[in-house]
Order: sequence, then C-alpha cells, then structure tokens
Amino acid sequence: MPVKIWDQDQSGHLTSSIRWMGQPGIDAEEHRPQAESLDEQIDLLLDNALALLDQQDQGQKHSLFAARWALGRAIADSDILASPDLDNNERSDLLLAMARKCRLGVRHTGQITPTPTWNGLLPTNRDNEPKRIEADIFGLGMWLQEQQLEDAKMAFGGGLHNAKQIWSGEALRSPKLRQALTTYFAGFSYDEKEIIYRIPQYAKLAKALRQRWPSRGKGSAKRPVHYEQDELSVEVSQLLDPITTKILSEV
Amino acid sequence: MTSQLVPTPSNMVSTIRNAIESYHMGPLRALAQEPVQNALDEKRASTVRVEYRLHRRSHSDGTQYYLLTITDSGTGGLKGQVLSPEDLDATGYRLKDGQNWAAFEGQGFTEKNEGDLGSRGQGKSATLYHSNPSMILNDDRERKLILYDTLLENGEYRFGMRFAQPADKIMSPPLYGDDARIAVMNEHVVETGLTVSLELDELTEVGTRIIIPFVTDDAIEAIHNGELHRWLQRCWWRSIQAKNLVITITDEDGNTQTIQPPEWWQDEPWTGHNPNVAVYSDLEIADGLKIKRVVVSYDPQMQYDEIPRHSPQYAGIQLLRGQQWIETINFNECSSVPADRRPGLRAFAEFDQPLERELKYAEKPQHESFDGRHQYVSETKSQIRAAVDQFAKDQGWAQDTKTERASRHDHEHAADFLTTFINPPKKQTSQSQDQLAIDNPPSIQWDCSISVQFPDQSSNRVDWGQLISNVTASITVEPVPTHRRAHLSLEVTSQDNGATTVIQTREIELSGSTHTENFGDFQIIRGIAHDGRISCPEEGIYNLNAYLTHAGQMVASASKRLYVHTEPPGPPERNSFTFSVAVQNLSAPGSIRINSGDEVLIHIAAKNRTIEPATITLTASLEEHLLCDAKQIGLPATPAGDTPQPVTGIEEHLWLYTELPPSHPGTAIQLEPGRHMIRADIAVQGQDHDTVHASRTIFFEVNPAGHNPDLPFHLEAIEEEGPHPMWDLVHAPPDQWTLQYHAHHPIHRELQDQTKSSGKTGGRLAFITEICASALLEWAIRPLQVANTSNIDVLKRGATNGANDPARYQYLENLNRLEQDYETKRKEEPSQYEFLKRQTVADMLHIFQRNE
Repeated sequence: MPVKIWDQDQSGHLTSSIRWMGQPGIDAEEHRPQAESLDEQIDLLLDNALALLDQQDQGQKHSLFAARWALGRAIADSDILASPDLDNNERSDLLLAMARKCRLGVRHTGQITPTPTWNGLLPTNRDNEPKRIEADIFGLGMWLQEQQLEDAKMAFGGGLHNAKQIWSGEALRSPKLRQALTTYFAGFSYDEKEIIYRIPQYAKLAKALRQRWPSRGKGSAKRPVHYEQDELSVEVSQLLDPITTKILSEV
Repeated sequence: MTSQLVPTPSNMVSTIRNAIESYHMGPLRALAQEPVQNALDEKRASTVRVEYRLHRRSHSDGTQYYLLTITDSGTGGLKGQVLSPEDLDATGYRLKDGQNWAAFEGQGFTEKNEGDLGSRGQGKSATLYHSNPSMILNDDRERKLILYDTLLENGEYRFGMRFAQPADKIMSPPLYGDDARIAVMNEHVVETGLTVSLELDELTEVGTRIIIPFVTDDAIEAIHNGELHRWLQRCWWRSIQAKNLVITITDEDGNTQTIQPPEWWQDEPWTGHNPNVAVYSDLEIADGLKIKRVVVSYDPQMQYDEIPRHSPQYAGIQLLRGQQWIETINFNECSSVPADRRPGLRAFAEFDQPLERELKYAEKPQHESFDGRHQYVSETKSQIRAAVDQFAKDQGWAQDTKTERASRHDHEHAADFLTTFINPPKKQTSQSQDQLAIDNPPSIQWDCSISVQFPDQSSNRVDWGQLISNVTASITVEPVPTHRRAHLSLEVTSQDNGATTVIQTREIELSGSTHTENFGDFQIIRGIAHDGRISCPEEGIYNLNAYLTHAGQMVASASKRLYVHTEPPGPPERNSFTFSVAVQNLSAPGSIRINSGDEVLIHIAAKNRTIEPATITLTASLEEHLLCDAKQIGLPATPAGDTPQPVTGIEEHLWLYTELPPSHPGTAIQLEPGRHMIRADIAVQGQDHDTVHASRTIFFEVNPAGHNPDLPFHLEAIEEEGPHPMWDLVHAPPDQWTLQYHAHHPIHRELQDQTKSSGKTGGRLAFITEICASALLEWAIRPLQVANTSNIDVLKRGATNGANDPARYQYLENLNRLEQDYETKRKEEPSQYEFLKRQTVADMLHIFQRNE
C-alpha cells in the first residue's frame, strides 16, 4: 500500500514523499496516484473523526479522551487498517501519514484545513515521531472505541492517562475487563468518582489490576478474557473495594 | 513510659556481616547504595535530597571519634505505626504498606507489596556495618550501633536506636516529640559506659536521618579520599542527572561536595548529534519487552576511571534499572571491542517499564547484579553486548562476524541427524527379517515399566543383606500381536563398570493388551548370586533392567536405579516440581507450523521430585481459550534416587482455524495468523509462592524463523578467521535457536569435504554430526534452568518412539539422569555431569551411525 507522507520544509512550505512497501524511492514515486487516492481517504477518515467528536462529546471544548476515542472509531469504521496485505512497515507508514496530516492539518489538495482542524485529534508538539509512539496513539484510540464513549468514560473517568495505565497491561486489554470497570465505577457517587478517577488514585487501582493479571510470567495463564462477565465483575469488585475504600477514607 | 533496650529475635552482628559481606562490590558500595535507595523508595517531592555528613566528636576520656549522618528529605520519613517486638510477633512479621518505622526496626522483613528486594533490611545493615562502638569500649566484643530520627508529614518527631551487642536490641518505645528533639541535640547514653555525643540540630524537613556513631576507619578514609563520592556517583549519576536526586557529602570541617554525573555523560550527549556517541533504541527482547536504549561513547583521550580491586564499574556497560546502577557488563565480554579501545569507551543501558519490572524480580537483594537464571536476563545482556559490538564495528574496530547459511549439503545432513532424535521414524524392522517383520509390525506399540519396593519407601537405597520386594514388570501392547509369546529378561548392571548379570529370563504368554510379571523378592548381597539373590559386589549405583523380546527383537525395556550401600542424592532444593508443555501437529506430524484446519494435541505434564506426594493446581490457556482452570492434579512422591514420573495434567485435542467453519470435529478455536502463546501456571498447594510458569509458542499459518521449520534449530556457518568457538547455540526468544559453527575452525578446515563413504558419515559431515549432537543436548538441557522439561521430553519421546535399537535404551537412561541430576549432581560434581553429557553425545552418534 503506497502512502503519501506530508512534511514541511524549513521555510514552512509543504512537501510530500511517497513510501511504498515501507521504502521511499523512485519505485515508490511510481505509485503516487494510489498514494494520493489513499490520502483522500484519510481526509474523509479525519473529517469523520471530527464529526463523531462533535456528535458524541457535546460541549465547548472536547476532551483529549473523547478525541482519541473518535479517531479510533473513525479508523475502525474506515477499515483502512484492516487489509491483510498490510505489513508492519506499511502499517507504520500509514500511521505516520495520518499523524502528519493531523499535525500539519493538510488535506489531499494541499490546503490547510480550516478551524476546527485535525490537530486536536493528536497530542501536539511532538518533534520527532518515532513509529512506536504513533502506533501507541492510534492503537489506544482503536482500543478505546471498542466501548461506547460513555462506557469508556465511566471505565477510565474520561482520563487518557488512566486508560493508558490499563492499556499498558497486555492481559488487561480485554473488553470484558473494561465492562467490569464500567459497572464497578457506576456504583459510586459523582463526588466519590471525582476522587477515585484522579491519576494518582486510579494508578493504585491499575497497579492492583496489573499485579492480579500480569501479562507474562507467573500468574499470566488465566486472564480477564477467560472469565464470565459476572464472575469478572465480582473479582474486580473484590480486588478494588479495599483500595477504593482506603482512597475515600483518606480524603 | 520509659524507654528500654529490648531484644529483637536475631543475632544482629552476624546478620549484618553476612548481609554486607555478601556484597560483591564491598561494604562501601552498600553504604552508597542502600540509604539512597531507601530514600528514593519513599519519594514524596520531585527531588529527593540525601546528605552524607561526617561529624567529629570526643569521648569523655578525650578519645576522638566520628559520627556519620545520612539525612534524606523530600521523602515521607519513617512513618507508620511503631510496633513493639510483641506486636511484630503478633503480625507474624508481615508488615503492610507504609509501616516503614516497623520495617526499619524489624530485621529481614519486607513491606507487603514491596517485592523481595529487602526494603530497609539491607539499608540498616549497610549503615550498622560501618559503626564500631568497641573502639571506645576497648574490648574484642563486636558491636554495631545506629540511631535514627525522623520528622513525619503530620509533624510527629521520633528518635530510635538499634544496638547489636551482638544480640540485637532496639529502643522500645522510641522517644517522641520534644523528648526526641532533646535527645538528638545532646549526649545519648546507650548503656552504662557507652555514651554518644550527638549534638545535632533537629530535623526541620520531613525525612529521616540515620546516625552512625563510632564510624569505622575504612568509612572515614573513604570520605576523606573521595572513594565514597565515587561509589555514589557510580550508583546514582543517572538519577542525579534526571534531577530526581541530589546527593551531597560534607566532611567534618564543613567542606561540601555535590555528586555530579561523570563528565562523559554530562548534558546527555546522546540526545544531540555527537559523532562519538551512538544510541541503540527499542531493542526488543521477547514478549514485547524492550531495552529502551543502549548508549555508547568513545573518546580516545579518556582513560579508565575505576575504583581498584573491584569488578568493572565504568569499564563496561552499566545496566541501570530505575536510574540506579545495578551491574556492569565487562567490555571484555564484547568480542568486537579491542582491548586498546576499552579505556576510552563508556556505555550504559536503560529499559522500558515492562522490562524494568521483570528485571526488578531478577535483581539480587544487594541490588548489584541480576540473577542470570531469570528468563529475560541473559537475553537482555546478549542484546546489549550485541549493540556494543555493533558500535565497535561501526567504528571500524572489528569486522562483522560473517555468517552464512550452512551449505545445503550440511543442512540436509543436520536435518537427517536431528530427525533421528526429534521425530524418528516409527519402530521398524530390517528388511532381512521378513518373517519377524510380519510377526512384529511397526504399528504395534510396546511399553514396559518396572516397579520395586525398597526397604525404605522414600529412597532407592538398599544395603547388602536387605531385600528388594515385589519386583514387577508391567507390559502394555497395542494391538495384541498374533504371535503371543515373548521373553522377559531381568538383568542388573553396574553403572561404574558396566558389568551385567542376568538374573532371570522368562517366557511369557500375552493374553491381552496388558501383562504383569512378578519376579518376587531379591536379597542384595556382595557374594555370588543364586536364586533369590542379586550380587552387587561394590557399593554404588546399579540399574535393574527389564528387557522384553518378541519375535527375536527387543521391543521394550525398563530400568530402575538401585543405590547399593550408597546414599542417593536428595530432592533438589530448587525446581522441585517441573513441567513440560508440548504441542504436536497431528494433521502434519513433525511440522511445527500449524495451518488452518489442523488438529493439534496440547499436552502438559508435571513431575514431583520430592519424597512427599503433592497436589498441584494447573491453569493453562491458549490465548482466549482457557485449557484448564486451577485443575488439581495429584503427583506421587519420587523416592530419593528414583526417576520422577510425569503425570499428565492436560491432553487436549484442538482444531485451529482462521475462521470457524459451520461444523468441526471437536473443540475448535479461531486464531489470527501469527505466533500465539500457550501459557501454563502450576502452583503447589500450600506453597502458593512457588508458582512455576511456562509458555510455548505455536506458529499458526506462519513459519518459525529459520530455515527448516520442523527442526529445533538451524545452522549458520561463521565464515571468518579468528578465535571463534567450535560451535555455539544462540537462542533468540521465544523459540528461535541457531547453531553457529566456525567453518574456519582448524578441525573443520582439515577435514575433507566428503560425503558419505560406504554409507557412513565421514569428513566434514562427521564434524556437523558431532556439533549437532552436542547442540541438541544443550537445547534440551538449557530450559531445565527454569523447571521446564519440554525440550528434554521431546528427546525422550524420540528415544522411545525410535527404532528398536538397544543403544536407545542407554541413551534414554542417560537423558533421565541428565534431567534428574540437573539440580543436584550438576552443581555438586560438575565434571561428572559433563562426562554424562559427553557420554550421551557418544550414544547419539552411535545410534545415528547404526541407523545410517
């Protein structure tokens, strides 16, 4: 899959190059028409993400959490990453292409998007763009969108940092666990949730979950994905109750 | 309430000595490392400050001595409830998070959830070690003393004391509030005749101060000559650089020095363009674990900066976990770094968070090395060494080790050899024995086992004059052959000299698929054997063997070890329970790659090496499919000296698909193409902390890396001159193994590139055969380090499935011994264990030659 990577030179002019099969070069340039067609598809994807964001997260200012969710949902809806022929290098290039378009706000026509622009969909000020980080940003969004936005907000208190703490434990990535967290936090009052969702407090819960279900090594054979939903909810409550009780009692 | 010294339950002086003298790098590194680490563990502010300060004091008789105070701030202090020894006893010496005071006053306790790194246990030993009150008391009795005060976030002030004389005593209760403040500002009477002039200012910032009175000469000298400064820099430069930590040292005259990162790492030279610095980032180890970066710097003007008489500190690659130096890989372990470049070379490695967590488990309590037995340590080090070797090559100091795929000829030969042991053709007869082949076709599966009752049922020891009872051979055969007569022979063989005595031979009639033959009881004697007696003239190990012959062919055998007048080795201290995870592709036998629609058999078995029966619980999964959940399995005891018997935990047939068909033959699972993990946890009931874990990768719709996907490793030839070992087996986790051999090795070079002569292997192919045998054994044995018998079990299955060759029985017996002796004899008598390995290689070569 050839992709078009936009860039900006030192005087601020837009430039672009084509990468094909993970490589730049003359062979890649020969596939420019397909790459530009894909570039147009990415425009649609990013527009959809903004539309989803407006629709699902109604308010004056969108949260980063909702933006990431919307971007993930738009990618999932587009099937752009679903091609079985997409190898790892091509996937990285595609993610880089999307990230560049977001940050530069450039459409396939070479014009800069008007406000609101796409750059609110991604973290800004990232000078170097290692592929690993792009993969994490888009991967987290696609993971979040496996739940409806409201459920995801309930599971993580609408905090990206909180979500990342669960995402970082590979064994914790099952939708069942997120559903169990959504159910668990629904039992708290608004004020209690305000306290528990704070990053340092939520970190204690995430740590307990990671220790209970490690991703590798001892104790990693049985994971949340292996539980029945009700059984998992009970397990999560038993694990987190003493911690949330302590958190709330210390306030 | 008045305070008094009350004993705690240990002899502290010997505990301290044992703890600190086990530091490979010596007590000064411990002094530089432990107090700072404890402070960082209790970090509350963005920067933790630790001040080492020396104070000069005079005893009433005019004798001069020193106090060393180590004060931390930006921490939470020694918070938590104060527990008396009785209280501690009542808790079962288990402490909760935040009980820092109690942890500091206890000995050998860890805070709950702190991991096993010892928390403040090593820390107090590191400080106590450097106190010597006997210098004032002028006697030979060893004593150790520290005092400590802390200011907590809630304003509480405490002052405590620990005095080892050598029995361990703490001041209970401690002094609080103004009493504590007054104590630190005045003389403190430790006991009659022993007074410490503290005369210190009270703490004004939340934190802890440890006061080491009567500081040893070594520690004073280390402060005066800067050695302590150098240890502090080595341990903490990265944390200092990241502004997480400030360390100062002030001498008795008030001269203060702040510890700085070494000049070559100042301003993080790896973040900008610097031709003398290279960074290797995101090096993957396994399971998604990554080395965050390896940074290498070279300056030809630089010289070694080492504290003498210790292992390398900067003269190698510093491994930093949590911005703390743990150990250094010596540059001489990097084969491409020439000796003359090493003085100017510096390097360090940092890890991503998941790998940091793994390494924390692998860290020894002294925080100065990683336990190489941990599954990720050796691979991590190997990747780091490779990065530095790459740097050396990029600098033009060394050429790339030129490896090439071994020739097709060598590959084919290696595949022939390895198949003989991994996936041998089923038992078959020679063509010249047509009638026997008809009577005993390869489809018949024979099995034989032997049981013996020893005088003591927990041991295979039998002394002269004692009886072994109910010697019984159990035979299974499927299907039952037409020709039902067979011969069963019972023999005893000395392991020392190979002398064999036939005890009995019986003709038996097989009436069904199982047959039990009881040989009765035998007395073990030194003299001449006759009915009911077995002669074992020398003390030592004997094998009692049963051989089953059918239609003129030996079809099965079994063996039991007798320790005659000899104590068998006891159960191993580590890895008392081992297990194996095996996956067989039943749709394409011998193929490691599994295709959609293939049937696989997953087999997990466990062995108990202890002399007590045990129950284990097994939990296993293949990605989202739970194979079993806390399934209880009873494991019989293994008498000392006997071979543990595997007990099957799971034997499950699965059909794997990329998309589930509407109907399928049994349990079907849908998987994405790629690598997938079978994970298994085994917990021994009553010893939950002793969980053993193993995993096995399956390759679904993809080939494993390497050239022949169905062999345990592939071959690579090192095509260059130089001091390379004859062969090396390189493991790239999880499942890629490469046998590298030196094609310019003198022996290889001298041999002719000859094919088979008269059907026998010769020339360089003999070389390939030899290294394949040695490497295959290495491949089988290496996972035993983590209680995983999966690979050696593959060889054992190959030994029992293979052609009916008596040499295979000896080979199988040797494999059993290699497994059984791994945790005992390998450590106690390594040369004998190595000999057994060589003997096993010889068996393999012999078997292969006979099959050719």
